[in-house]
Amino acid sequence: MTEVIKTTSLTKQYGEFTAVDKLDLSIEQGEVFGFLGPNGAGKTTTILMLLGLTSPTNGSATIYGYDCTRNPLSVKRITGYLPENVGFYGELSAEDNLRYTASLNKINGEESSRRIKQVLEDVGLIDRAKQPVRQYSRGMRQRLGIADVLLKRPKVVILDEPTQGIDPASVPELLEIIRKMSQEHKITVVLSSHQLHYVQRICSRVAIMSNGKAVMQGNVDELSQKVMGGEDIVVDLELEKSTPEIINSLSALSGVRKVTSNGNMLTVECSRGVKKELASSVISNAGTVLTLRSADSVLEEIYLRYFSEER
Amino acid sequence: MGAVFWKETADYFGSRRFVVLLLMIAFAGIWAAYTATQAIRAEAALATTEDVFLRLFTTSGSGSTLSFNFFTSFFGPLLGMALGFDAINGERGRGTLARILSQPIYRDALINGKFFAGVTVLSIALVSLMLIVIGIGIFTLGFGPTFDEITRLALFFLATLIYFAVWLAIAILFSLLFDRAVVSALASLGMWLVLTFFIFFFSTTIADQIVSDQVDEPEIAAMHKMEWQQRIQRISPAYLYGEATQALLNPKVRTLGAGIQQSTEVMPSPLALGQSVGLVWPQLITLMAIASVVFGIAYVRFMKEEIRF
Repeated sequence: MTEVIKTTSLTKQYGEFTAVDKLDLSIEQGEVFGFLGPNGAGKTTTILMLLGLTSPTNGSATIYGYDCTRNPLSVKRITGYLPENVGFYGELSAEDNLRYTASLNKINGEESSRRIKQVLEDVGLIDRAKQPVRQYSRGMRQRLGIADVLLKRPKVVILDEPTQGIDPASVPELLEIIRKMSQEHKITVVLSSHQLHYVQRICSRVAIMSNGKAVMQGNVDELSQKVMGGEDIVVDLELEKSTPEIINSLSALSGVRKVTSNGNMLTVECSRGVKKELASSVISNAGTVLTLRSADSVLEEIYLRYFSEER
Repeated sequence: MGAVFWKETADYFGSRRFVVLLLMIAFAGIWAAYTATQAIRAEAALATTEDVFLRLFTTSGSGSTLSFNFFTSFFGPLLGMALGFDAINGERGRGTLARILSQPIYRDALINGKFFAGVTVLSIALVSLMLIVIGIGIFTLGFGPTFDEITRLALFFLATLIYFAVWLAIAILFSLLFDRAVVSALASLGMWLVLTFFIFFFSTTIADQIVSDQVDEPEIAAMHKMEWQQRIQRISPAYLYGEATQALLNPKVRTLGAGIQQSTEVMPSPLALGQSVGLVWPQLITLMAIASVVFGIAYVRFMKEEIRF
C-alpha cells in the first residue's frame, strides 16, 4: 500500500485560536477515509490546507508527494474537491458548468465532450444535461458536484459533508456513487461528515477530530474496541407474543448477559457477536420477531460516548 | 486565465443587468448625438465643419446639457459597477468560489480574468456606441472625420475606457470587502455619488477653511480658494475624466485649471493634437494610476484571503 496523503504536525492558528493542532494523518491508496467530528473541530480547515487554499501556520501536508502549500497546482491537478454547499452557475446548463470546469483543467474540444458525457452518465444525470442547474434539486446538485469532481479523473477525491442536506432517500444512491468511484477507478476518497451511520457504511478507516486534534484513528472495529472496551450492546426485540420459553432460551445463549421483558418488548444486553443468533433463537421457540433494533450505528455510539466523556 | 476570461466575457454579455444598462446608455447616447447634429445644422454659430465630429460628442441638443460625453461621464461608472459589484461575493454566495479555486489554476487567474473580461466588454460596448455616433454624423453631414479627429476620438475612447475601468476596479474591490452583493452595490453607488457630486461641495467647504484666514486681497483669496478646490476635486476620477475629455474633444481648450489665467485673445487659436495630449497627460496618467492602485489592492486582498465559506 502506498501512502497518498500525509500530514505532519499540521497546524493552523487564527490569532489565539488553534483550528487544527499538530495533526498527523496518513491515508493510503484506495482507502475511503472518514473524517469525523463536530462542527468547528477543524475538518474543513484541514481540507482547505490539503488543497493549498489556506496555508498552515506550521507543519506540512503532502498529496502524492506534492507539498500542498508550495505546489498547490500539482496537488489540484490530481485532487478533486467537493466543497460543502457546492454551487454552480444557475443560469448555465449542467453540461456548460462542467465544460467550464473542464476548460479550467485545460481539457477542451472532443475530449471535454466525451468526459462530460461519461461523468454525467456515472452520476445518472445524462438525461438532464441540458437543463439549467437552477432547476436542479439539492440532491441532483450534489451528484453534479461529484460529476464535476470526476471530470479531471482525479487520483484523490475530497468530499466535505457530501450527504449534508440531502433527503434520506437519496443518500444511499450518493454513497453508492462514492463507493463505486473508489472501487472502479481506484480513487482515494476522503470524506468529512457528521452523519455517522452513513460514513460507517462506506469508510474503511476513520479519524475523529475534536478541537483540532485527531483524537482517534483506525477502522471502525478498532475504535469500538478502544472506546467501549468490548462492551455489550443493547438489542430491543419486539415479538408477536413473548413467552417464558423464549426468554429462557435467549438468556441461555452464551454471550447474553441480561434479558428484561416489558410485555412483548424484550431488551437484551449481550456481546456483539451473539446478535445474529437472537432472532433464530426466538424462531426456534415458535415465536415471531416483529422488529429487532440495536444501536447499530457503532460509530455513533463511539462518537457519543467519546464526546460525553470529554465533557 | 484564458478560460476564466472567456467564460466571464460571455457571461457579461449575456447578463440582463448589463444588457439593460447598455441599452439605456446606447439609447441616451445616440439620442444626444442625433440632437447634436440637429443643433449643429441649425445654429449659425455652430455651423462650421471645423471639428464637427468632436462636437458630436460634446454638443447637446437645444437647451439641454445632455451630450454624449455627459452620458459617458455620468453613467459609464454605472456600467462598470454593474459588471463588478458581485464579482467575488457573488461567486462566494453561489458556492462556486471554492469549486473554481480547487481547480488547477492560479488564484489570481480568477480576479484577473474577471477584471480583463470586464474591461474587454466595456471597450466593445464603447467602441460600438462611438461608431454608431460617427455613423450618424457621416450620414447626416455627408462627409467623414479627419485624421486629427479620429486620433482625438481614439484618445477619448482610451480615456473613457480607463475611467470605466476605475469604477470596475472599485466595484470588484467592494465585492471582496463585503460579503453581500447588495452591500457592495450600495457601497459602489455611494462612492460614485461622493466622488462625482458631493466632492464639489466638500471641496468648497474645505477650501474655505484653508484659505479664509488669509488676509490677502479678495481677488487673490478667491483664486487661492479655486486652486484648493480644484486640487481637492482632482481626487475624483469623474473630475479628472471631465478635464481630460474636455481638452481632447475641444482643441480650443488651452488650459485646465483655475480659470483666472484667462487668455488675452478673444478667439483663442486651437491647440494641435500633441499639445492637447500634453495638456491632459497628467489626468490620463492619474486615472490609470487610480485604476491600477484600486485593482492592486483588490488583487492583494484576494490573494491573501482565507477561502472560508
